[in-house]
Order: sequence, then C-alpha cells, then structure tokens
Amino acid sequence: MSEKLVELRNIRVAYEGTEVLRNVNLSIYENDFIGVIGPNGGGKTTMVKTLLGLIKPVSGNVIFHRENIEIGYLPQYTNVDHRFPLKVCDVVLSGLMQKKKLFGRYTKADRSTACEALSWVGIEHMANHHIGSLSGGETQKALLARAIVAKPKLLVLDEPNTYVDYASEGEIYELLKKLNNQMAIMMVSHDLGMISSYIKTIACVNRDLHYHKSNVISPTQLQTYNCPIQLVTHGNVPHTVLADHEHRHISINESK
Amino acid sequence: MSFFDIFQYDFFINTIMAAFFASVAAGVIGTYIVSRRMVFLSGGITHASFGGIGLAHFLGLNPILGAAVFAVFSAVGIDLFAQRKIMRHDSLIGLWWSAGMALGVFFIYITPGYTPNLMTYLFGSILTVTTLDVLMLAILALVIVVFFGVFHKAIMFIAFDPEYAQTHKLPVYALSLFTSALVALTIVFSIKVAGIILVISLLTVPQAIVNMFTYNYKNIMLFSVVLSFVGIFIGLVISFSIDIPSGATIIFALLLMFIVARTILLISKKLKLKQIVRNEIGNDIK
Repeated sequence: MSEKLVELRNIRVAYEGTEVLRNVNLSIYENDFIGVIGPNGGGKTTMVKTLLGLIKPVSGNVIFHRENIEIGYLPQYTNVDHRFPLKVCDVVLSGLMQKKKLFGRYTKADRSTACEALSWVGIEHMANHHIGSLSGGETQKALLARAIVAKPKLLVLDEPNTYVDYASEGEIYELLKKLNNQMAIMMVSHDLGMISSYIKTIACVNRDLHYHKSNVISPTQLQTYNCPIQLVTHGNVPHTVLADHEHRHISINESK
Repeated sequence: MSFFDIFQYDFFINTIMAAFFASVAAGVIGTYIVSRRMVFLSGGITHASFGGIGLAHFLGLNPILGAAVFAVFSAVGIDLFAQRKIMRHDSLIGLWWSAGMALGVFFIYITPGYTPNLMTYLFGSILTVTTLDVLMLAILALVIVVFFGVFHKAIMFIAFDPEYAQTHKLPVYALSLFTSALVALTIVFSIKVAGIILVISLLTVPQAIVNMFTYNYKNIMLFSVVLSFVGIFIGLVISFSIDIPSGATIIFALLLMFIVARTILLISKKLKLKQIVRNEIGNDIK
C-alpha cells in the first residue's frame, strides 16, 4: 500500500469574487501519475498553484502527510523569460537552491548533480548554451531537469507539451514514465491525446474536481463530470476512448 | 584650459569618484533591471522621485534625501499596487511617473523666494557633486556589491523565475523588495550624474552593449561597470571641449559606444559568414 503524500481538502479559490475552484478534494499517493484535464479557464493551473502554495485558498487546506515533502515544478512555458542571461546548467542548478539555502555556494558535487540531470534528460551537450538558444522541446527538458535535480517526492507539470514538437513530447513522456518509479507525478494537460497511456488516473477540473480512478474515460463520463474537453479518438470507434495501450500511439484499428 | 588641467582641482576629483561609484552601482543594478525587464518601472521611479525633490525644497530639506524617500516609496508602492492587480502594471507606472513630476513642479513653484535650477535635476550636473554626494554613492555602491555578492544565486534565481523560487520557500518577497529599494536609491544618487531624464540610459545602454557579446550575467555586470565609467569619462571630455551640459554628453558617449559595438558585431558576423562560405567553396574544389 503506497503512502499518502499530499492532500487537498475542501479547497475553494476565488479571484476578485469569482469562484475558480470549489470544494476540491484530492489525495496524492506515492507513485501516483495523475493527469489533470479540463477546459481552458477551468482552474487546472489554479489548482496546481494552490498545491504548490503559490495561491492561498479562500478556504480549505493543503495537508502534507510527511515532513519536508519537496515538490518539483515545471511551470507553463510562457512563465519563463527566455532572454534572461542564464546558461542551461545554471537554470538546472537553481533547482538545488532549497538545499543550499540563501548563502551557500554551489559545490562541485552540485554541479555534477546538475550535469547528471541534464544528461538524464538527454541535453548534456547544451549545458553551456544560453537558455534562449534552446528549442521548445530542449527548453522543457532543461526545465524538467531543474524540477527533478533535487529528487523531489512529487513532480508537478503544467502543460509540459506546449511549444514542443511531437518527437520531444514522446521523449518527455517516456522520461516521466521512468521517473514515476521514484516519485508521484501530477501533469496538467488540455487534452488527453498522448498522455492517456502514461497516466494512471485522471482528475477532471472545471470548478469542481472529479477524480477518475483509471486512465480510460468515456465521453459520457466526461459529461457527467462536467468536463467538456476534446477527446482524441483513435480510429473510428465511437465510444471506446483512450483505452490502456501498451505503447504510445497505436491506432485501435491496427491493434484489432 | 585643456581638459587634463582640471585634474588639479578638488571638485574634479569628486567628479571622478562620483563617476566611479555611480558606475559600480548602475552597472550592477542596471543588469538586474534589464534582465528583469524593469526598465519602464525604473523610469517611473526616477520621475516620481522629482516629487520628493520638490517637497524637500518646499520644506527646506536636502533635495536628494527627499528624492530618495519618494523613490523608495514609489518602488514599493508600485509593487504593492501591482500585486493587488488594481490596474495594469504599465498604466500604474505611468500614473506614478506623471504624478511625481507634477508634485515636484507644484511644490517648487509654491515655495516662496528663489526657484532652484531645475535643469540640474532634470539633466544632471556631475561637476557640482559634493563630498557628501560622493560619500553616499560610495556607501550605496558598497551595499550593492556586498548584497549582490552574498545573495547572487538567490537574486538571479528569483529574477529568472519568481514563482519557481517561491515553491522553494525562498523569501522572494523580502529579497525583491530590498532589491527594488536598491534600484530606487541607485537611481536617486545617480541623478546628479545624469539627471532624472537621462539616468535611465546609464542603467540600460552599457548592459545592452555587453549583452550583444555575452549572455553571462556576471560578465554583463562587470563590463557594464567598466563601460559606464568609460562613457561618463568620454562624456566629460566632450562636455569640456564643446561646452555642453555633461548629462547630455555622457548619454551621447554611451550611445556612440553602442553604435560602435553594433557595427563591430555586424562586421564580425559578416566576416565569419564570408569565412564559412570560403571554406565551403574550398571544400567543393577539393
């Protein structure tokens, strides 16, 4: 039985009187891989930021079930200033900041940890490049390296596939699959398309949160969850949606 | 009198020292401003500080002290208002900007008697810096160097991605606020050097020049300090030679350096391209 890490309990968030999330409950266990889906403006990012402590809920609590649970975070692509004068390896090093506190200098060991993280995501050759010279996919890999360099217990990703080419997207998901053996993962996505075979469970967020204990979901279920999102159906099977496929992107017609 | 004769005068020693300490402060702070895209905000703080100059004049206090108080308040104020999302960030800056200027003019004109030379504050007059001015600049430069030296990592980290830094439980707010205060003080103490209207280029042009050649944050800081000192010095020489206010000539010198750097960059890129083409043709022939 895996252990509970973090819990969102009765979370309500509002911006200037407009309710964005209401009565949100969610428990995250070790080795979870939760796909967070929902329409734009439905509160996915808000929920993630509440979990990270960036947004204070109007009511409800974020409960940590263990002390000092570190959370790795990969923010939305547009959050990062790509012209900031910083090298890729320094970006990754900044992921170790929590351990270094405010004063400490980065040690040789820190630098080699950062390099390891970079080579793990497959862009060690870019270590000394300017962060702005990377492609979309490489940038997300660098930010993934920053998020995992401190070996967190929980990794939170907000739409990691934005501005990423198809091949890199698959590579990133494969990396996440490996990471999932060591940490829980929560990934926000606006569609279920490619992620469905990697995630284990689904959280539908549209003001309310409906937790779906499987990675297979049907349009009818989405409707009852009040979660109008575009489903990518594979082939012309009308109601079987995103079945549990072994590998990425095998069309259902082929597998028949 | 030739330019170099003036080195025998005490006031000129003050000028050179002010130029040096202002360059250190502006080089470090300017790199921060440019990296965080706070140039417009800094312009707002600079102009808002004029309100402080006016008020201090009205109350019979030291105008730079008044400017410092106003600048720090507007830096913190803009930050607080921005966080409450009362209005758009750039509109907010525009509001503080013009309100400060208006207040300054208002106070100066309701003060009975002598009206100070506004040109000094608006366009700077580095030759009139006092020993006290130099001392304040020196202390500020020291504080900035120590602060950025000790917190270098955290400051960069926060500047690059404040939200991420917050998830690491860093004192993002406190550090940002203190840095904003240093930005405000740098601007105010540099008013004598380049003036309210022109000081912003002291904080941005050297950085823009260095940024053409390197993306390394530390190098941008270091070389900006050097370039800004060189710019002020050349500006002073021009000011002496053709008798034009130093504030303007310093900015001209900086802009001239920018154009020269840009040209060098373009030529070197062209040469590199030529070399590549030549190599490829050579390979084809082989």
